[in-house]
This record gives sequence, structure tokens and C-alpha cells, in this order.
Amino acid sequence: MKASFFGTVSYAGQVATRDWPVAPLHCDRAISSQTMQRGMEQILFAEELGFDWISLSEHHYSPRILTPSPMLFAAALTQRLKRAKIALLGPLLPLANPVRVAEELAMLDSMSNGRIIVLFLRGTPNEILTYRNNPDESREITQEGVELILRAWTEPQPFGWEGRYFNFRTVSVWPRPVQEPHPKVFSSGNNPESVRFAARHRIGLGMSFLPLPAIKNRVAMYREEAAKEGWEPTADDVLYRFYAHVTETDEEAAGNVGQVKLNLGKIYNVNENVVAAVTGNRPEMRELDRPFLFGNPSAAIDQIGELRECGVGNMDLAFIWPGVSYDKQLRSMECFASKVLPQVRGL
Amino acid sequence: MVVGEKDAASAGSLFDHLATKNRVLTMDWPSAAQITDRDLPASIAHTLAESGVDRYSVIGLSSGVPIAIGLAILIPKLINRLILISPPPIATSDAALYEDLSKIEAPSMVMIGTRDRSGAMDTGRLLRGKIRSCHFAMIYDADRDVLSDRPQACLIPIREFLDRGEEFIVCHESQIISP
Repeated sequence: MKASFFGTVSYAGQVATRDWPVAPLHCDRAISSQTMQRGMEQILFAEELGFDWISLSEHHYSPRILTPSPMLFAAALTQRLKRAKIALLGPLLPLANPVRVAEELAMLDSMSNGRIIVLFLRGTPNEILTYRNNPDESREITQEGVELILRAWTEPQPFGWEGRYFNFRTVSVWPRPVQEPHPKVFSSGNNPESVRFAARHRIGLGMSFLPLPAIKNRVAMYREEAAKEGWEPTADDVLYRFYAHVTETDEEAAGNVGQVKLNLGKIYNVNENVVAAVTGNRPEMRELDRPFLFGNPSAAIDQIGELRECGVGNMDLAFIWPGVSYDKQLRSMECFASKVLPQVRGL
Repeated sequence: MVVGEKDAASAGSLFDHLATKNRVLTMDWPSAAQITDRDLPASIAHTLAESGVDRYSVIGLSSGVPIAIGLAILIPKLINRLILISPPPIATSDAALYEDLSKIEAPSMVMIGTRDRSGAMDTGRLLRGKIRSCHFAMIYDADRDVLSDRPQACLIPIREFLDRGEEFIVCHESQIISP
């Protein structure tokens, strides 16, 4: 089992509102700069603790995650991380030019000497609103973008692309990625349609914030669909992102996390009809009572064991949770790395 | 001039589309004529010359691609544009053909569906590499019968390539959203 630390680079200051979008007037310029430095320090600490990957994600218009361009932060990481792989989980293709994404990822792969991993996503509901994308087309746009990027990385000759959503008369990406044929790619697997896509294209399956039965269901379907395509995925092809808070005792974890719930589908201060229109069928957009991985090290080991039984071979852990301070996140990371990680590596 | 698969339903849409601006010629020959692919280019060139057609573009559809290539090699100066759609595999041992591909002078385009698993992609790459001025257009989410699967995605670049040749890579569509 591999462990990835999700570097959220969350805003270091206090912001009273939970609205979306959060007004820029709440952003203290000095704290933003401090946030970037703290984010880097936390990531370097994660590498020191033994995490296999460092992951970044793309989110917009909010202090929750300050990497609207994860490529930029990843570029900085290529110059600081010595060993850990850099997982971009991931670029939002409906918001981007896929050829540009292919070029930037290839650059990063060159800069990191082949340590890039990527999961292409369509974005959470508020991201759909960011650059005014059509939510009804986001999956199709993402899937076409993935195919285009895979071609851009592997075609030996310049080519044109006559797509449904993208049209390029000349594509010829330089540099090529260091990894051959290309960096490890995951596709979202939260919905059955996306699971089929991942299996058909022989790429990894990335899920986030789903309950265990749903994970089990998606992985079984992935294997079934892959078999139809003539290949057999391993646990290394399956990734799950979740929240984690591991402490010495259950009581400490409960005290730190408190009674705060996290509603992933809610976009605060956005008209409910608008939210319903952009959310669609998103099984991960639900209310969470507590982090998926929660409690003392022994409980965490058991939970990871269940995850492994579902077929997950890569876990991406976010140590943020509303109300859990930065210092407590660091202590939880340390506790996880020293008391849980050594026990689950061999799973 | 369109060669190959002319009876396919999808070819009809291509003919109709082209005929709005062009004179479209297709070849028909009796199956008992014992004409080989090797003889056909010379025969077509001769027929067109006799008919007073002195310069023309050639579109090869699937099994017609080798004939279209043969024409472009045989009479390079007379071909305006060469478009090759869903080419069949070319024998890698055909060294003479490889040599001859460099004689093609016409701006060329190879068009292949991204779901085509027949080996057309390899042929497309080879043609892109050997023909001096060859564009390689992938039709997303189309199988071997690209004209049926995504007609608009094929007809627009074909039209633009016939009109503008190599300049078809230049976008002249306005990017103004609200003037």
C-alpha cells in the first residue's frame, strides 16, 4: 500500500465566511505568501516522514486550497523534493486547453526526472462555475481531453485533432515526458461511466470520498470492464483520496475533530437551484461526519486493511478538517507515518 | 476525383458536400476488367486527360487509398491536393513504395478515426513521415468508417483543405464573443 500526502496548501489565516466564491478582500497578501511557504514546508515534512507521493489539486476562488494552478506548485516541488513522486490529482480538463496541459505535465516530468503521476478530473460543482463551463458536458469534455493528452504524449508525428470539444490542426508536444510511454495516468472512478472509461483506456482508477461499499463496487466493476478489454488491473492501478485524522487515542481524535460535519456538495451562499444544476449525479458530494481514516493507529490500520480488501493500492490522505489546526495536522501526519504507515506498507 | 468505396452510404454525404463547390468525379469499372491496383492509376490518369480534366484533387477512401497514392506518384504535377481517408495497412516490406512516396508533391492529408484498430494509425504515421507535406488528422471517437461516425468532423477539414491546402492550419474564425 502506497501513501500519498495531499498538499492542500490551505490559507494560513482565518476567514470568517464559508461563502463561495470568497471575496478577494478577505485575502491578506502577506498571509498568502506565508501560506505558500508553509505549504512547501508541510510537503517537505511529509517527504521526510516517508510518504511515497505528494499530491496537489486544482481548486478556485477560495482559501480552502491555494493551488488554482497546481502545475506551478508542482514545478517548485520538482526542485525541492528528493524522492517522493509528485501526483497532480488533478488538472481540471474542462477548464483547460488539454494540449497545454500535456505540455506542462511533460515539462514537469522532465524537471522531476520522471516522477509525475496525474489524475484528470472534471472539477467539483463550484469549479464548473469558475470559468462558466457547461456541467452537462463536463464528463465528455474531460474524456476527450484525456484521449487527446495521451495521444499528444505518445504520437511520434505531428497530428491534428478533430474532436467534439477540441480542435487543433497541429499538435506536436515538446518535450516528451521522461516516463515511457507517459506518466502514470488515473481517471476519476466515482461514477460508473468513468469506471468504464478508465478500463477501456487501460488507465488507473481514482476515487475520492466514497463510502467503502461504493469503492468495492467501483473496483469490481473496473476489473470486470478491464477483463472485457483484455487486461487485468492491480491494486497499484487503484487510488482513493480521503480525509484522515490519526492520533494516539480515539478520544484525542474525537476532541480535535469535534462535531463539525463537512458537506462536500454544498456551495455556500450560492443559490440552491444553481447548486443543484451543477452538482448532477456526484456520489462523492455528500455530508461527512468525520474523516474516513479516524482514531488511534490500530483503528487506522484496520480501516486501511478494509480499503486494501476493496482493491485499493494507493491512498491519498488529506489531513485538513474544519477546526483541526495546522499543528494538529502535523502531529496527525507524524502519528500516521510512525505508527500506521510501517504496518500497512506490506498490504 | 474520389476513388474507392464509392458505394458506401457514407461516401454519398461526401459527394454531396463536395459537389456544392466542385465538380466531383468517381470511377467505375467492370469487375471483369481484370485491372489491378497497379494499373488503375495510369488508366485513371489517361481517362481524365482524355476528358479534358488537366488538374484535380484526389480523395482516396479506404481501399481506394493505394490508387490515390499511385496517381499522386504517377502524375505529381497534376494533383492539387491529396486526401487519404482510413488507409489500409501498407506492407512494410514495400521499399519501392516508400521511396516513391517522397515523389508526391501535392499538399496531402491523412484522416483516421481514433477508434480505428485496423492498423490505419500506423499507416497514417508512415505517410505523415514519408510524404513531404502531409497532415495527419485524427477524427476523435470515430471508427474505420469515419464519414459515417462523425461526418461534420470530416467534412469541415476536407472542405478547408481542398480550399486552402497547407494554409488550412491557420484559423480565421473570429474569436470575438460579443462585439
